[in-house]
Amino acid sequence: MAWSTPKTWSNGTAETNVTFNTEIRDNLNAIVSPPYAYVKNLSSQHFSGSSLATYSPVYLTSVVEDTNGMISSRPSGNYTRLTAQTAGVYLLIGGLSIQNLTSDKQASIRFSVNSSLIPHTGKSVTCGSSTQTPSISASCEYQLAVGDYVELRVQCNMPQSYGSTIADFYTEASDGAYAFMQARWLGP
Amino acid sequence: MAWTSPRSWVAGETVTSTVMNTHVRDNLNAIVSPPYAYIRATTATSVGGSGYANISFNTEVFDTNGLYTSASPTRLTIATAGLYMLAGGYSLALTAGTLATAHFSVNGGLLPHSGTSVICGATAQNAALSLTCLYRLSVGDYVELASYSTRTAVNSLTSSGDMAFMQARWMGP
Repeated sequence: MAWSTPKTWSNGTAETNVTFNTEIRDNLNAIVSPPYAYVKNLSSQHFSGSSLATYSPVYLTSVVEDTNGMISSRPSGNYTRLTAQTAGVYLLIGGLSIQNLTSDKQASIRFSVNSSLIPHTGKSVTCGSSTQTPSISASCEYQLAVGDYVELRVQCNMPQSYGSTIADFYTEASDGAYAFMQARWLGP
Repeated sequence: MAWTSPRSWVAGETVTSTVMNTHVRDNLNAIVSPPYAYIRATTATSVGGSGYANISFNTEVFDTNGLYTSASPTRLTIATAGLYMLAGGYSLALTAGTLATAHFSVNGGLLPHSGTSVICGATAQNAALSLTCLYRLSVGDYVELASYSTRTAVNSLTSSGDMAFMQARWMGP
């Protein structure tokens, strides 16, 4: 049930079951079972052809939970988005793992809303002296309007070859390392 | 008080104090004071070498629903089904080029999505990791903070500000 602004009760009013169901039952349910989506990607995603400085959206094709149709408006073939159907402040959590991040290279993730990066810090990891497959996760709260779409974006400065300005990297897709994103409504 | 699925009121119903206390008072209390546990480790856990090690905890800061028992010091065991917010972290003394990763596991299996990592640069450093996620849990499921490092047999740090922690809070049914 959707949240509705609670009624201001007044003296001498005979309340009805309709009022109680809306004001008490539905609002209690709206608090504990709000809009929530959890999506992940069971496949590795290959990023190539982007500038080293570009944050590219991450495909999240597998739906674990979606209580408010947040995936329903994803463009056909574009499974990067969660679209808010209910306005409010959302808790956003997401992460991924980068395959074989090479020496001194950095990977970063950020959230974007309507294709613009959310203007606060994401999360980065920088490889040391030997190749590693690190995981990165980030979380934040953000106010979304109906129709706003959220994406998890990744940037990595691993070039195709020495001197290249084109990024070329893969996300990891093993159990425990799938890319994922969660969005949960916290309040209006 | 535990959460009760809110009543559907019917026309002509006489509202009683019992019904109001169960469906309004107790449910409001269940929302703001839900099952919640916060545990810390003042003793070290050896991490690294082969696979993931589960951090062992020995201090309860909060535990409103019996999630922790010292007999199973790596676990928070769920007593109320629902969607939980999980948070946890630990610190390690990493050497040059080594990696540490933190994950949550449920019933001994890593959660299927990514955790978080830190990689040491050219100079040895103490590194802190923390992560957060939402996960739906059933009664009897147990959550652990699974920790991995490419530096072998390194102890998690226990000084104030560095000590490992794990939190679980019920968010809804």
